[in-house]
Amino acid sequence: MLRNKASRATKRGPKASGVTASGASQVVRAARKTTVTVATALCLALELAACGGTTTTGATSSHATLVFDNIAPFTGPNAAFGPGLMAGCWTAVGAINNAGGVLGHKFTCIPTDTRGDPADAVPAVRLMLAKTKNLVGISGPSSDSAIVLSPILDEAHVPAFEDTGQALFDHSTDPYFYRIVPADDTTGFAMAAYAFHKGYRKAAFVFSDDLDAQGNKPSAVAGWERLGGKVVANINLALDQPSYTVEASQIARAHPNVIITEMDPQSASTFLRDYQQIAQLPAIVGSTVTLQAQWLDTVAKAIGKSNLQRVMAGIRQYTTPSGPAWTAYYTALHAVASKIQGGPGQYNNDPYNEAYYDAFNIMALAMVMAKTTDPSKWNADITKVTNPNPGAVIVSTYAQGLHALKQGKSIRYVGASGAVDLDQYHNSSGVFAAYGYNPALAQPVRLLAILTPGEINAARK
Amino acid sequence: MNQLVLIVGSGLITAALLAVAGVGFTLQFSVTNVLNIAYGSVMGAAAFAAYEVNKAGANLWVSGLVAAATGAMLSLAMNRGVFKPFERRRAGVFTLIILSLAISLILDNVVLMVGGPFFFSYKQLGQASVRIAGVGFPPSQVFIVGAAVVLMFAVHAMQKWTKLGKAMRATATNPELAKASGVRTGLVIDLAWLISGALCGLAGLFMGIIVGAFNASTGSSFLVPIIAAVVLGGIGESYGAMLGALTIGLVSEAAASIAGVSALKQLVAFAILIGMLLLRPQGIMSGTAAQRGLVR
Amino acid sequence: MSVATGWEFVAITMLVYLGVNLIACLGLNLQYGTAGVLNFAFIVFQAAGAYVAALFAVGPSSSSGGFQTYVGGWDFPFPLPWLVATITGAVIAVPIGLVGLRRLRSDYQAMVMLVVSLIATTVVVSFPGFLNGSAGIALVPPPLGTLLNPISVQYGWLYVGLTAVCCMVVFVLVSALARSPLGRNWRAMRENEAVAIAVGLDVNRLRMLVFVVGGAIAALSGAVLVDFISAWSPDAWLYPETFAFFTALIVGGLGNSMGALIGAVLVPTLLLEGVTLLPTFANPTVSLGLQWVVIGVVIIAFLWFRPQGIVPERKTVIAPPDNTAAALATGHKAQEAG
Repeated sequence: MLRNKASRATKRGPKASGVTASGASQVVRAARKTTVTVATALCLALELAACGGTTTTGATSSHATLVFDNIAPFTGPNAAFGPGLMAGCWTAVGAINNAGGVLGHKFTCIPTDTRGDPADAVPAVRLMLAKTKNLVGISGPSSDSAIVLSPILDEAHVPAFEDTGQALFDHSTDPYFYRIVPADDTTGFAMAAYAFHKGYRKAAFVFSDDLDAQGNKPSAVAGWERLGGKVVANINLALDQPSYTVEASQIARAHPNVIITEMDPQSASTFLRDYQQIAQLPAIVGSTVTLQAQWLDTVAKAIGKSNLQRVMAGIRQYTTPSGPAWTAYYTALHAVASKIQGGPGQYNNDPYNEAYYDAFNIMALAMVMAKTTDPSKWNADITKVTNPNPGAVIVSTYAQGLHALKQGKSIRYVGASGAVDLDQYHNSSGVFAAYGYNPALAQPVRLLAILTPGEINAARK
Repeated sequence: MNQLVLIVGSGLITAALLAVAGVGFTLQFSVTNVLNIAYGSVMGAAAFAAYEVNKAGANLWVSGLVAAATGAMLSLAMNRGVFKPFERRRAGVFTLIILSLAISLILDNVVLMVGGPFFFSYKQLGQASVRIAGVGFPPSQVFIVGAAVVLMFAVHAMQKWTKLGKAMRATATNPELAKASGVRTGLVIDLAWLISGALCGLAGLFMGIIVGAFNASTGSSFLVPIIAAVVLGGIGESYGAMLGALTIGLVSEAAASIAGVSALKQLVAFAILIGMLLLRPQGIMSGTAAQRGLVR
Repeated sequence: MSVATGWEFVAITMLVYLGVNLIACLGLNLQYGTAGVLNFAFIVFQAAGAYVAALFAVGPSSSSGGFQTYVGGWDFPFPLPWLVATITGAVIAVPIGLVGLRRLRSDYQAMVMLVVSLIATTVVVSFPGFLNGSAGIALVPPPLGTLLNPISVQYGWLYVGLTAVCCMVVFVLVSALARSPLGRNWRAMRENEAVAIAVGLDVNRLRMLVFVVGGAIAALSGAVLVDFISAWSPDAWLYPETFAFFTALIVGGLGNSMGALIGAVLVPTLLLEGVTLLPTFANPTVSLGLQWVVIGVVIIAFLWFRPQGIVPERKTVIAPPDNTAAALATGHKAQEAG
């Protein structure tokens, strides 16, 4: 009941345990922040002596392994984010390497642990940038540290497909910044739009009070009201509580016909279970987080599969577990199953993972197109690979793209997470759709409806 | 009326968790004077052990036994392996705290390494409601409150009526005198850690059931709330821990209900605690605090 | 970026963090090492300093797009935010001290302070309008950012210089205090409080004083850190962070500034550099988790084999006056008599 963790960003993947967060691990987290000047001075001297000023980004020798870095928490409250990013990376890298790599180079994936807060993230990333040879691309960082790391990464001239929905990146002017996961505010509008589209008019907004859950909330509420819906309840749930009975009863008394929400699996299972004791659950409209495998499994355990199926809808990017792009993703994912922590199954139909995978394919194809592995040279080709282009051949895997480029054609990569259309701020939100829960399916989400941009914009203005 | 039942019900659930955990914590403190920062981590490790067993097919009763046993063994090992040797070297209070911190670090991360960064959840007791006074409660919650009551009674019985209970009290009050009077203080202390460890492990299981899903760091996140309950009720007193837990549980739920703000739940509990610290820092039941000279 | 630049940035980052930690350790050492006040809510003071420094430099939320909600938000030039931050640390020490500084035994006091630390975190997270909740405050402009390009290496070294100046100031202050009569009173209070009271020292006032001074120093460390990374969030100051500083002091040696310095340097080396040399496994969770386990083991081992720290405190021995022998003899006779 008394929570002592400050935040639990839950957006990407199941909330993870970090060990470090509350317990002693923080002792060292803070310790981590200082470092031996002697050691770094030594390193500096050695590097200068050995390499004489060659760059760390871009390959110097002809068959060096190129490095993709994944920046996320690997320990701390959100320790599951890191393995999630790595899963996307290994999936892509496996397929790219199988197709022969890029210009004779193969790839590998490395982790960089931000430990979930900006103060720890900065030294970790600085160290990574200094010591990593042949760094060519980045997946991440996530919301906990994106805002401080983004300028550092941009200045290092390494393209980063960042894993944050924060609104302040909606108008990013950094040339090396890319975002193909949906922005929080757009997702919020989409949530409101879908609930309204279904005919509900009395909404209760229930969000856990951690960083990522709160991201969608303002636009969800604002969009709902703009559309004409009524807000009958609006609460933030404190984390790590044994019971939400009192909160649930307050909401139930307001008689909502829909609960619009984003919460981590723990809070969700507690809250929904407690709510069900008091009143029948109304419809639920959640977000991408609420459609992830672990969320659905945990909540289904708490409230019953049939109940969850009856009420649940979540808004996320429209991707289908079918079609050539997804099939290739699925194959590649399971081909590297031994490298995927927690097993590949949970990522079968995970749009975040699919987006991470696509990001690496995009970067590899840009390298091929620019005929160089130096990011400062191929960065500009990223949009050429993703954006619509009359006469371009649509490709759904790296191998296909490589083949088409070799033949001199222009391409458009449309991957497992769908078509990417980067605007002038390097943002691409994609198409939103509503999904429900269906335990009978292999991938337990089923498509309910695809949202049109018009519907979403109606909530936005 | 319904509202009242709801408040009391959810307050009891919180109280049950904090009481079981708190009694164990305060027992450790009373007998060995250790502020055990690793307590929450032991809860988490025990909850994880129970999860593994439960996943393999055991029912919740067996899982509960596993949790209790894990907690007991880890706690005993902690005392024998770390605290005792340092205490023999006359390590100060501060060193012991830092040691317990290091243990917490190790434990939490071992669970992370073994179990992975994802969520664990038990196969629950089902979703059928148990109706009490017109309000439905999940069977797991009712079970836990019941179990907590039984455990509290057992602790009470042990302290009041068994030789061990008396020996523990003697050791807590004055270890030198107790030893001189023939109490096998070494054994008593070991048993105290075993028992409090078992309570800790069970609290971990309850926590896992109550919050629906937990991970390697959830246990640690309950440490300070447990401390708060124990300090409120009076450190070193089992009844104090129960009282503190009850107070915090009921008042915070009531506050959340009245004010309509979930966050207020915790803040009201803390405000009570602060008030208590300002006015009566030794807590509601001040026996041990007074006797140990914790507040001068 | 070139290799050299990359390592320069690493050096800059590490030096600034070292400086921040050193300032914090010096403050904590003053409280615990010199005066014996166990402040397990120490991190709250650093956090308060960071937030205030941020608020006084970041300007109103609307000026940066309105993504954040917080009270106030002004745009004062450097070094004003740092000064205000330091004062804030001193100011909040008073109410916190009133709650936690009562004459409690140290481990009980530790528990109380831990709860206070948790309360602070809860308040900030639960009321997002106050300090932007879990997201924290970002987009803090770098001090003196108009002098040099803030993302350049030159600016980095400038910042290292600023940090060094603050370290110097704090070091001089702490050393002066330690040598002063006030410092002697604090040490007397730490050594034997009953005697200190008997001699007429107002221990309550002494405790509050060291709490205030240490709090101010901690707040300064927060200000220096926040302006360097340009953001601050609740995750950066959860209650266990306090232990990191205590560990540094234990390793370095309590009660003296050299120990604080060594601790601030070594703890990260031991813990940061050393553990990254461990073999990495394919599974990063296991590798990174293992690092923490090693750290915990190292802490325990250190406390076992070298509990006094690397630079043990030198106990000042006051030479007895020359007629001691006679006094001792009389004393002995008195003891034997009864």
